[in-house]
Amino acid sequence: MASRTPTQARAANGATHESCLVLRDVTVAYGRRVVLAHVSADIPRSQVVSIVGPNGSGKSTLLKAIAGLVPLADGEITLFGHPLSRSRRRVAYVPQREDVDWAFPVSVHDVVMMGRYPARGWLRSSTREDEGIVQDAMAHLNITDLARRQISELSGGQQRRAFIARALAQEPDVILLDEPMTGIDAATHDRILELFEEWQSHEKVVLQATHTHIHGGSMIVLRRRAEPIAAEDFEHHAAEAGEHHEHHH
Amino acid sequence: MSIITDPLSDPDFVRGLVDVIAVAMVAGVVGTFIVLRGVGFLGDALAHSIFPGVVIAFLADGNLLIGALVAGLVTAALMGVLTANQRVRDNTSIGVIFTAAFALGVVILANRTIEGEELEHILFGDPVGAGTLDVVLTIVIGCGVLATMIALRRLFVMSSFDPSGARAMGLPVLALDVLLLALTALTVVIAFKAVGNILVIALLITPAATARLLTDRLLPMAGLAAGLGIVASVAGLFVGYHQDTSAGGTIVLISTGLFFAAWLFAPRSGVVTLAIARRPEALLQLAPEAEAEVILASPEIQAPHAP
Repeated sequence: MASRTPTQARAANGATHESCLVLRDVTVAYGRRVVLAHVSADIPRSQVVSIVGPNGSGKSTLLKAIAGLVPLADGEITLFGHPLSRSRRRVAYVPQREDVDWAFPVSVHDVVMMGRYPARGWLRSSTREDEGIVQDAMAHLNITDLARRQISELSGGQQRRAFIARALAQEPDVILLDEPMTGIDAATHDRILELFEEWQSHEKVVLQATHTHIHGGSMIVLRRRAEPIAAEDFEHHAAEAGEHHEHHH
Repeated sequence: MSIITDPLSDPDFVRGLVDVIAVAMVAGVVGTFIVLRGVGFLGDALAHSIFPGVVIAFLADGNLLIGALVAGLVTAALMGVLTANQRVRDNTSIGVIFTAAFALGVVILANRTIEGEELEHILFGDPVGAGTLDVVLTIVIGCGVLATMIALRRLFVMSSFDPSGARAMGLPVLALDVLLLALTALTVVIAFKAVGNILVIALLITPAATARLLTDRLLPMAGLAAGLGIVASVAGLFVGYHQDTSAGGTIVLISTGLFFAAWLFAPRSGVVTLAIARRPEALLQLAPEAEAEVILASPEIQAPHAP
């Protein structure tokens, strides 16, 4: 589906079509390689959008572009009609495993508290309110008993939970997850799927770069060779993408 | 008690003592981040880069610390330009520039007559030779570095631990990297009087590396690194005074001795500690964290594996 006009992603649960996150002609280049070209999508609230495609098709790059980690060569990204660069605080980003220094001496509590700093101010001490939000986020991910443990001591699934709790503590409108299901246990996998539903009912926008999209959910399908792409719902791509990206459980 | 009190009646010694304590405290805190980030080579390169400034100040009969300070600030600015597009850890060109700076110092020195002892002081330190201006500058710069580290600690932690997440939250990760290196440059500048240009990196990374073996929490690590640095520096100064050895060299050797002691006997990670704790009879006393149960399917109900 090559189209330069933004395509309204169909809301999976029939929620409102009021635009929340809008990508217009998003184009990203690394040096002289154009790795994403003219990605447009108009994503309303209450959506869980899977960014799917083969390795090297730019899933992670698109997520990084939305997170503000790579500059746009062209196009723009807006949140509620304003440039996203002005509302970084409302976007929580859960990076890929490889981007984190897991040996760094921080506790689970420290990691989750990091989610509060953008709102609180980096130079200020956390308040009792922050502490309450952090405790709630940890309880929500079932990691309260790990609070004092060092992040380096945890399993891959527990580390992912800590990072998702940090995203929760940020109280964002948009949650970006880069390969959230990679390298985790079945219980964490199921918990993340439950959270997707919960975030959807709380009118969040969730985007995940993934190999295991949610059956019947919204998708942005990327192909190699930098073709123009638009957000589409599952049916259009079930035949070609479905067999490669079937939801493993 | 005259071993302790005799040197303390010497004002030169007391100034040197104040100087090394201030330096060790700052170097421990800054070194903690240098060690955790694995950028020790950059600290070493920075030390080399201040050498021409020291040499020029020496030949012009100026204050060496001020020469080092000027060179350090020029270097920090140059670094900012070099690292404008990438994280400093990956930047090999910095190594090229900094060794070139050291070579420049060597070339400037080549045709000048210089007393062996004075060159030794530049290369290996002369804490007892610290003047009042040196000590005051060291304390002022040291307080500035410490205050910056403490005020910005959350930003440094976040950008070191999870640089992508930090940038997504809007933190200027590249600027923080350059700032950390500028603080390292200032630490190198104030530390070189104590242990000399060659050994300055030891004061930065050895106490922090020792502390890393002893704790896996950040604030205790920084405090421990500062404390270990102070112990080694004060002890090195006293030993140097009584045995008439190079104080800078003695400080570094004592610091290295503490590192090896921790490497062997650290409560959780020491080589000897682990060897004792991992004896089979000791391991079998512990409650296992997991157990195994084997379930084999009967062959007749196992379907052939579809391709």
